Amino acid sequence: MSIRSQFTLFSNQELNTPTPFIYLDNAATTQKPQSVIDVITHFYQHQNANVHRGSYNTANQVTARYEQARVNLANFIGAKSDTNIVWTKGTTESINLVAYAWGETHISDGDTIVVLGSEHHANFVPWQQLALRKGANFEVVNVLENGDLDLAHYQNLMDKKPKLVAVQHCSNALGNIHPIKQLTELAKQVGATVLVDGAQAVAHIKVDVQDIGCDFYTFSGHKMYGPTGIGVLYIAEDIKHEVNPFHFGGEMIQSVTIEKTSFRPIPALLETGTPNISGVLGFDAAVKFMQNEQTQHELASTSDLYNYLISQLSQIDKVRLLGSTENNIGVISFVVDGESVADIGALLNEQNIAVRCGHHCAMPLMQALKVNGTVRVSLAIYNDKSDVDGFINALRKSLDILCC
Amino acid sequence: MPTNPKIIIELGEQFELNEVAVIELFSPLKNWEEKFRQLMLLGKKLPILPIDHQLDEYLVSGCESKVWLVHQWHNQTLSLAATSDAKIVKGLIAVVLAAFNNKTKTQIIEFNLDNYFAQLNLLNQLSPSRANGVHAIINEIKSFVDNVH
Repeated sequence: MSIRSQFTLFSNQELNTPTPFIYLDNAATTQKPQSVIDVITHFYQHQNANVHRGSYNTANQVTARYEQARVNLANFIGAKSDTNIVWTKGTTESINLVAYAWGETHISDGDTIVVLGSEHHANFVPWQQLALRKGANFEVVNVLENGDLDLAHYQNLMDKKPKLVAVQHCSNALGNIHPIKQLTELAKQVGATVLVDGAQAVAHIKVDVQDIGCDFYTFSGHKMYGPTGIGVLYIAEDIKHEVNPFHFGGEMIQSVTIEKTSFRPIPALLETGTPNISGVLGFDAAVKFMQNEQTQHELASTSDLYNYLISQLSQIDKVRLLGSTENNIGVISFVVDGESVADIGALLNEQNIAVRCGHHCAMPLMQALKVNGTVRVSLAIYNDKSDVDGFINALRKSLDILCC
Repeated sequence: MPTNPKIIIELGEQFELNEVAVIELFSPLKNWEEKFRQLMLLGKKLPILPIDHQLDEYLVSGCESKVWLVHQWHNQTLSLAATSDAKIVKGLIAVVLAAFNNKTKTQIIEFNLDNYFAQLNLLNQLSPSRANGVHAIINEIKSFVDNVH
């Protein structure tokens, strides 16, 4: 069974009318393989019960599967233990959670927070706002012309002995992979706490959180073939004691009296309320999908498709590619001189091509690159040469219409 | 109010296209490609709005792309001039201006927009945000009419 045929959405007749649906917006969200959909459906049809509370078989079985998913996820990213894994709604919630559960008590007046200039707003605004609340310095690493971070500037900023360094593993708008281990080491040398936004990384590169050496690592299920509304916050063992509860309620509790409450340790401490059980089980299926041999094999060949895409795009007049295409997860952003990206997006849409047009929630990066927005094409393992060819033809036609 | 009423009146006069002509242009067109090509051509017919009239205060809110719209009442008719940073939007502006530019208050109020767009068979060609943008431009023009004494 080919990888693509596991994604039944692509065989939807309606979607492929009048021309084939070409999905190249994978950095926004990926499609879901049948194995993920089946697990979610099966849960609701055959096993629905709440976790951690049941005195009956079904609840206990669901709890066991739910907790096994945590173990599997820990193994997937090389965490020391499943107790380092906190389920969240996704990357955005994870980062905001750290900003409150850790940031409120560990960032104060005069402290420094460092982020990259190419961050997604989700790893930029929470820290900017925390800095504003606390009177801390908010420092942004310069972006080089090719979209990479200015490493010399990053090193200079380390001299300010930042309390927190929050960096993306890969740029969502450009796809370039940052030297995350090196960045973490440099930050650790000056005593900073390090958070890595791995939202774009996990579907493309093998992540080992202990090897990276970061304190927090976060990503979402839906960008790696899993469901929406589920994500992970990895919390390293050494930093756990610095994290306070943020939301209060059931599940997280050891004991409650009228006077006081004592809490259970992480992960329960941060997982109050009934969790997204079907999401966790679907996420677990996505992890299995990522780990299977066929997926790994396909993943290895996406760089060939990416190179083909770049070579085809480069041949089109007036197309200006942005960002480094070396060491990239399979994303290309481009502009066409004299044309608005909204126009290009509208005409591609007419031809049933799904790409993202705009600022990609990375306005500071757009400012650094001196563009209002880009057209972003992002690949996933089910994309093939016919997708790229279809897109290139459609782009040529769009530009022909716009320039007539 | 616009910085130079005279310029706007001139721009309004330069744009001679009306709704009958637009319907004639679009009615034989069958596919999306022909319609978009026609929009490109119409966009080019918009008189150039001087850069000093492309001020933030003339931006139409609710449009995905930037749209500057200025107006001036002159001999009981409404002179309109507008532009956008996106070509498709410029074409759509031309379609809208053809219906409202150089028209009296009564003509504007009585104009059957639904019928017009139905005959053009254009709005279903647009994404919801584009269609909203067109409505935002139309609402802005209607506010000019509501506010005239």
